[in-house]
Amino acid sequence: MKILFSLLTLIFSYSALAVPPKILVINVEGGWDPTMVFDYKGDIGGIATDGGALTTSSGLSWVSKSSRPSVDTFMTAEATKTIIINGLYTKGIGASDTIAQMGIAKQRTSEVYTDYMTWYASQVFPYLTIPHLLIDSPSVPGEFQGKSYQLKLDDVKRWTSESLQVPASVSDWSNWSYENALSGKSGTNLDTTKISTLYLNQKRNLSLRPVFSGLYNPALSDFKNRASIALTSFKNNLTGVATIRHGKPDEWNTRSPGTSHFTEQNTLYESLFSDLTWLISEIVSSDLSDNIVVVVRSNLGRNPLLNAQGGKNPWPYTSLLLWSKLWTGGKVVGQFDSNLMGVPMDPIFGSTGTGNKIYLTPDNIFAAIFSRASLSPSGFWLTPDPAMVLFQEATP
Amino acid sequence: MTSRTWKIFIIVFFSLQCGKDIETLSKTPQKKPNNSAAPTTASSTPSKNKDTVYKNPSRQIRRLTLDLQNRLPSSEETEIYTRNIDTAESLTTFFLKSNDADSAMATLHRNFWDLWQPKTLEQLSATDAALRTAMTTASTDLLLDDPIKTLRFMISQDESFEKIFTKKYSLMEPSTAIFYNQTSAQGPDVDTNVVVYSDISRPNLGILSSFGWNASLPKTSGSKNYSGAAEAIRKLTCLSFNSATAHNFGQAGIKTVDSSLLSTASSHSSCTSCHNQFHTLAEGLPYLSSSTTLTNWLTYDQNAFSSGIYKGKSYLTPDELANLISADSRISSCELENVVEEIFQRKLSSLADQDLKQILFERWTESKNVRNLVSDIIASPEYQHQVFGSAGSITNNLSSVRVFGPAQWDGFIKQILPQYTIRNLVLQNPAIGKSAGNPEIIPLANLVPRQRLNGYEKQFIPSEIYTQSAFDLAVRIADAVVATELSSTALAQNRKVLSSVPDFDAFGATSTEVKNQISDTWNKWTSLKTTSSDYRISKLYSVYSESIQTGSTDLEKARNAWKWVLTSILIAPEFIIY
Repeated sequence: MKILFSLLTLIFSYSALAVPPKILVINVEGGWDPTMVFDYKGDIGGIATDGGALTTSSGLSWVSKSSRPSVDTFMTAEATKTIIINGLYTKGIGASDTIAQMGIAKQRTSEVYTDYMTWYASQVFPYLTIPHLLIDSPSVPGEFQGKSYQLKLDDVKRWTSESLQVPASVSDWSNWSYENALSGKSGTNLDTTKISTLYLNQKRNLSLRPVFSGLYNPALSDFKNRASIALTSFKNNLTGVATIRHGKPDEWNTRSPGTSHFTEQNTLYESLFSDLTWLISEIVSSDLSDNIVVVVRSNLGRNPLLNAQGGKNPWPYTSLLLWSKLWTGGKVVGQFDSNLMGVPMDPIFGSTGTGNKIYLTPDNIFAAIFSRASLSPSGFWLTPDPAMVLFQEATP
Repeated sequence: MTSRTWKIFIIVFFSLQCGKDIETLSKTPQKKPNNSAAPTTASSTPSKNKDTVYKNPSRQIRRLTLDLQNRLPSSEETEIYTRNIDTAESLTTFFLKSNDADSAMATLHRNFWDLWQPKTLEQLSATDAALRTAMTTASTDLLLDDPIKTLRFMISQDESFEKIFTKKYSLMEPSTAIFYNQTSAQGPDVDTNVVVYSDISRPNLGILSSFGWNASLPKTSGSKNYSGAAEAIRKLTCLSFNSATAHNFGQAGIKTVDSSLLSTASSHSSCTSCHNQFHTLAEGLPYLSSSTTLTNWLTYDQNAFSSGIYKGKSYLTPDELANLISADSRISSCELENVVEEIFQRKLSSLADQDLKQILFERWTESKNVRNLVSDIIASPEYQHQVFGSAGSITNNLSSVRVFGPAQWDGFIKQILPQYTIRNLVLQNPAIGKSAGNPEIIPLANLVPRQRLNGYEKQFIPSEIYTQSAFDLAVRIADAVVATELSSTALAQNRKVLSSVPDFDAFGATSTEVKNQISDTWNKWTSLKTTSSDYRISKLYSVYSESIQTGSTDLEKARNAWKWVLTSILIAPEFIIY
């Protein structure tokens, strides 16, 4: 009976939604320590933790500690829409942070393949000006790189301060001259594919600049500005997927902390969850909350043990947080073992004892999310098993 | 006789002496690589259609000049070449022997100059008060230019490529001497100083020892030396050790982070492929020094590794290490690949490309002479076809499109704005609201997508990364031109660009003067022959007419108008594509 119910859930989960969800990805760069928020390991010897206590609300469990009140605030308020994934294998522990970023963004370090979000955006939002908008986030090259656009908040600030008003005649000229070149009238007699790419870039430069330059609000933090730009872009149907960075580049890399690993990550977690609470309120007030998925991810986890500098080295197993009204949240999927490695599990039924057990990876998670838009990455990714366990309702 | 007159004289001389049909040239490279049959593919077979071959001589000389000298041809050169279309080979030879070509060829070695990360220098200077004081934007720029200057000097001396790793000096500017702990030491016969490594106890690794090159490696803190070493190796060898399994201890069969890691890692290929083969190399590089390259790896169990395979390892002497690097065929192969890709403006991917690379490599290993290499590349059927062939005959082949890359922008800016470089366009004119005393420095790095700076550059053709920023760059160039050339004291005769409009602010120019100026600039920058009555000029004139309305003074209005006209020309496909 349980299996039958799960299969029904699975079929329902694959059914098409009228409008594919927009996705907002928040990158936490450098590698967070999952034991401080996502999976309580304080009772296991051999793992250096920050203490705290396991807390549960509406089925969602997290590590609560008084020094991180914003974590409790967010988790309690958003428990029913939140899913935590633990023991996620990112392949991210590599020679450079960019490689690690690629690990979480597309689960392979090859530069040939595109990242998940650009692939999704290219499939469901090809008609938008910027299917995938990246703000201060690593763009991962690949076949669909024309479907993504990298925006730097510094540029938006600069554009705002410069108040550059591009005359309409310059835009007219640009469109006109590239159309001439594409039609062979300009005498360039050159191949059209690359001219098209140039044309697209010029059009974006000319048309998006005034759009974005008006969006910078000096009263807000950089993260809130990035988020605001992303939400405005969603609302104006400029973009379908946005990836933004929280904080500074590589900020969570506490390999060699200035104070201590736990002190620094504590501050970062507090800041992150305070911002997430703000973000959800913005999403709701923007009328975007009914059809959006928020992914909060880090490219790495952190080593179970402290190193000689009082920091923690990077670790390939990490956690990920999802928020959406499109599913029933209040659940934790996956787990870390006593060595802080992922515990293999069945991605459909969640069983760790029997069945087709695998290490959960971003592949499985994003394949499941994309299934909400009736998209299957089968044939495009190497391991497309969607982690449908995410969407299983609790057994009645 | 001025240098320009000399050039014209030499071109004319070659024109008279060395006639050769360009169609023949396209089938017979001037230096046929190794007497081997040139690779024949759809993309590299020269066009035999004489009509198309001769179709656009001005565009051909534009390509050759931009590729081999990183500059636009003068109208005199275009005129002479157009009249003497037979002289392609002599012209190519001439270009390759010029001083400009030395610079151009140096910039082809983008591994040595292209990843610009001033942050590293900031961190370097943060712990050293003297360096911090000395580190101005100007000196930083110059410092980062040291490797390319050194490379250019070696090319001008026809030094073997291998020697760039064994040279005992770098060129430096007086203002960067302090970074090398030097005051002033006169260098070779160029207007720069030289730092001799033996004087300051630094490893002798040629230009790899220079601060400028090391500053280009991505390391944002002292704990990131491992990344720097890996990046150095990647840049030098074109090999990536960042494979999916390289640091996945789980997949390497290691269950716990204890002493078993050592025993497994020391024999596991995913570890030893990098750590054993390149350990010496990585550790020899300054600022990637000694045990830090492995410490991060080893800290999983400090005790186990303190007696591990690398304990007490004595490294090669600097000279031995330099020889090791220079003799490593992976490095010369990588450099060849970089230069070819930079010239072809595309990745080498097909089987035919590999054949071509093999042929070039055989010749390259004979001489290791950069000038010969570039000569061979431009004599290859692929290049000949790109430049002289008809784009229409090779449909679906993107390689026929060449786009302004960093080297071309750099050369162009030098031509029209000698006081600026591509790295920084100092915006300090009232027209854009910057005060003269507080110039805003816009490093090129800010105009380039971040992934370019983080090591993804191998994915892109070199020029492509700049197309996203072309509009920003165009606006800045145009801004700088009008700020330089339009003022209350500016005389038309002293201008490099706006010489056809009246003195000073040029506000009162007649429509004829404006159209003539637009068509002059258009023709010079695009190598096209467009009259002032052409529809393109009319279209650009409408840009002028609209923009001249904006501004509170005549000077502001005129600067605004010409800024947008020049920007429009710079973003036009006829200019940016060549």
